[in-house]
Amino acid sequence: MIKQLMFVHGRAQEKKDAAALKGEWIAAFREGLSKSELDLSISENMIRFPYYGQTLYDLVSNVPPEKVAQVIVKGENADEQQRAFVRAVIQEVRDKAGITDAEIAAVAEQAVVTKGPLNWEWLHAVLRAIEQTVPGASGASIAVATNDVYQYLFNIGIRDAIEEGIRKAMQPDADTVIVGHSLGTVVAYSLLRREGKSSGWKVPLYVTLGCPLGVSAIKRALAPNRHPECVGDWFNALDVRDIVALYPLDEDTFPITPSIENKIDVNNQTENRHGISGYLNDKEVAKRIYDALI
Amino acid sequence: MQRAAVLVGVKKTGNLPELQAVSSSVNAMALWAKAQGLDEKLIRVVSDDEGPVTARQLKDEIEHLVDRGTVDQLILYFTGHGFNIDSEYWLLSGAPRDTEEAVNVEGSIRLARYCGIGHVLFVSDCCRSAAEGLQALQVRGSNVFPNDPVSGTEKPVDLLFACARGKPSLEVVSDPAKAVADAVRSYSALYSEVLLEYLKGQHEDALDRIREDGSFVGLLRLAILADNLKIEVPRRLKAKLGIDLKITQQPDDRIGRNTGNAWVSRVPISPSRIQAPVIPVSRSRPVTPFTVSERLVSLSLAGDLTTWNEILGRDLGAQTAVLQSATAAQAMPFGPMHFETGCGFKVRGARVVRTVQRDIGVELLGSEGNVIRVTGCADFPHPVLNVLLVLDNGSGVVVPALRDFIAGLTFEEGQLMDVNYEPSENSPRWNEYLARAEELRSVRASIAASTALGVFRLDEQGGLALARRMQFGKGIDPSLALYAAYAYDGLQRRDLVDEMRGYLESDLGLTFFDIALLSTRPKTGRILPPFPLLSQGWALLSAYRAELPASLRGIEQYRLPSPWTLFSQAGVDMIERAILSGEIR
Repeated sequence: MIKQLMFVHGRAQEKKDAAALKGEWIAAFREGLSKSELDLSISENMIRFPYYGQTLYDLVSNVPPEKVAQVIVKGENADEQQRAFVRAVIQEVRDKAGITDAEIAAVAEQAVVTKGPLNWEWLHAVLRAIEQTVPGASGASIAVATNDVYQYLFNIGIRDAIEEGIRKAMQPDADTVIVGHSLGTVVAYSLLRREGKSSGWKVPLYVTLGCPLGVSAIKRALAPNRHPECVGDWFNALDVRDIVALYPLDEDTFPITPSIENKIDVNNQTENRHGISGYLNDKEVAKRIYDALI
Repeated sequence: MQRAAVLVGVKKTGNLPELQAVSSSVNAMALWAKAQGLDEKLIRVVSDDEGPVTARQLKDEIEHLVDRGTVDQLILYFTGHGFNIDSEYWLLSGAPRDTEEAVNVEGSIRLARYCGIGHVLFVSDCCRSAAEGLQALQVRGSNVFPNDPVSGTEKPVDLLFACARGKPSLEVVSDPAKAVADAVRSYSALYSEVLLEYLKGQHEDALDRIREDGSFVGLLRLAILADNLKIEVPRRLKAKLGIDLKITQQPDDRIGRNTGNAWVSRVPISPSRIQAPVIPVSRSRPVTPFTVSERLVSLSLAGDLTTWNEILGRDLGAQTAVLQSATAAQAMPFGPMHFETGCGFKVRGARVVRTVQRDIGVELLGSEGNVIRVTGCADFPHPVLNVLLVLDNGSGVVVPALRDFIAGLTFEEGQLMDVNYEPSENSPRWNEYLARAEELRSVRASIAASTALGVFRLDEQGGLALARRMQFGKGIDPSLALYAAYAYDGLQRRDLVDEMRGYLESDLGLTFFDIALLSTRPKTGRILPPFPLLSQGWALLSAYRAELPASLRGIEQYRLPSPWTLFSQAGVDMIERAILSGEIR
């Protein structure tokens, strides 16, 4: 059986050349392998890298970078469901980060707090408080990532555009080891669960890195969740400081059968503890991918 | 497939008699669930054997399962006391003294659709009799599924009821012959007893045999189970108690278009039983109000008025006679067919003594209080306005006055059974209506009478046929649209409600409150009246996040038992103040 490797990227890949980006992923993977004195076991042309970065970038392309978070939490062009989704995810990030109302109030510029539902100014203050409290965290990145996940989950057009590249890269006659990162883990999971079996795909190992599937609003949108039938083993790795992933995918947060193997001691060296290079260059992560390909 | 069960038993509530078979039923359900291989963590038993059962407990158990995000099928089973105030309520230990200590079944269903569980089945083994007494009427109940702001797509939710609406579910002496000799009688819950037999695979003819990994298993599919329960429960009752016209139990169900084939139990079949031929049991469908209603609605939608009339005149037994006579009566036009102003109300079965409205004139014509003309229609700022009609017994109803339409109100025994809108003969709409009048009246009468008796059901095909039939001219029949909205919501086809709303808004410039409530679109625009016209809408307000105007908050406690919303004197006073102050127009 032919074996191939597929990388499914997450956010912040826009305006990058797909080939260069693939090169960055492979370099990080190689770095991780070198820690076990290994090198790639397959040729680079058997590493597939479906690229959809521009699809998401276009969603907020007309907004100045410093305004992106504000625009998203304000949700002027969003419907109630979208605003509620963004609110729910940001609240959960805040809860996980242990940020108190007092810390938020300290960065908020509001003299008064309404007793009704949360307003966007408060949410914006939550993001700023996260930035100030969590090393390397970026409020804008959290808002954008949340918006991306929402668009993928609820906008069929965007979903199809993103998934089309993955469908094309899958080969029914090949074993495909899939490595997803961030939003890419949500995309690959959703597609594998929905179409994997009927399409005859074979995925001996699914690796999720910095995966936000344990976040309540995301998990609920995809419920009922289950182990994709076309997937053999599922290996999840995270740095517990990763503010996007938030949780391991364990019995408490993502109780599917068979259960997911979690590695929670990754030391992601990237600034926000979420970057792909800081995951792929981990010795054990790289070795697990390597082992599934030989 | 990950399956879960929440099994609730409440034998004692308020001052109602303690039920004898609750504990045994819940325990038997739990044993069955365990035998099915459900993860024990996913079998949650909440029973008053362990202390009072509260709404909070049920919410916690369900929330726990929902939050897992992995459950494909949940069975929520209840056995205990229940009643019906326009919709179902399961009574928990603290009811009716605590108005929240009941399960608002309809509201919970709406939230369950969006909870992320792949398929939720409510199984209700309790009475659906009308609530009696002011204390019972105040029960509002709780929605026991989480009110999450975000979820994925709508998922199917189905219901199995132990009995028809307005009827009791029974506990029956297990062995009547033995009971005579024994000092202590033992009881069984008839419905749960039969249900469990099917779930355990004791009725082989109901199982769908499939081969899996070289062996055979029997799957009990939901629609088959429901059909069998409808036949077997009355038969079992008859076998136990003999024929007694006063004691009946006819199970009911509401199963969606995609889940009839879903299985709810899986039973291994031994090799020896595979060899034995399965002899299908002849199961002719008994004639019930449900089956007659289905037939009448379907014939009227097909335009076959000859057969429709023939069925109305046929002797089908005492059970269905009420439905037949009510349908025939509703189909008969009554009162004036036109007003000079093209707008008004006509009433049968009650007497209107005064009206309350703003911006338009209303005249009571004659001395019978049954013909009410609306004047100044041409000068309406909007083509519709609310009018409060006050009856001679002090009760009252708010009905929108529609330009070019006469609203016909039918009262029976103090309840408002139907409101139908027909174009006034002198309106521009009349000619188009006339060509379809007989057919539309038959559809409306079939649906109105069936709704009032709680036996109206529509399948997907019927829903689409109704959508076509209710159209005339550039719009749709306003009263049919109201009934259809609830039917579409029951079918989980709120897209069709949205479609109807679009028709009404473009044709009449309004949305009825009920349609806005059930629609997926924002509750904005001109919405009349300020609360549900049909009483069944009240149970859905919180689940669909609808609010009443500030001046009418709490008015639900002044509703009277009636298929269409009707208020007592106290409610009438609140509405009158709201209209006169200009808050309601």
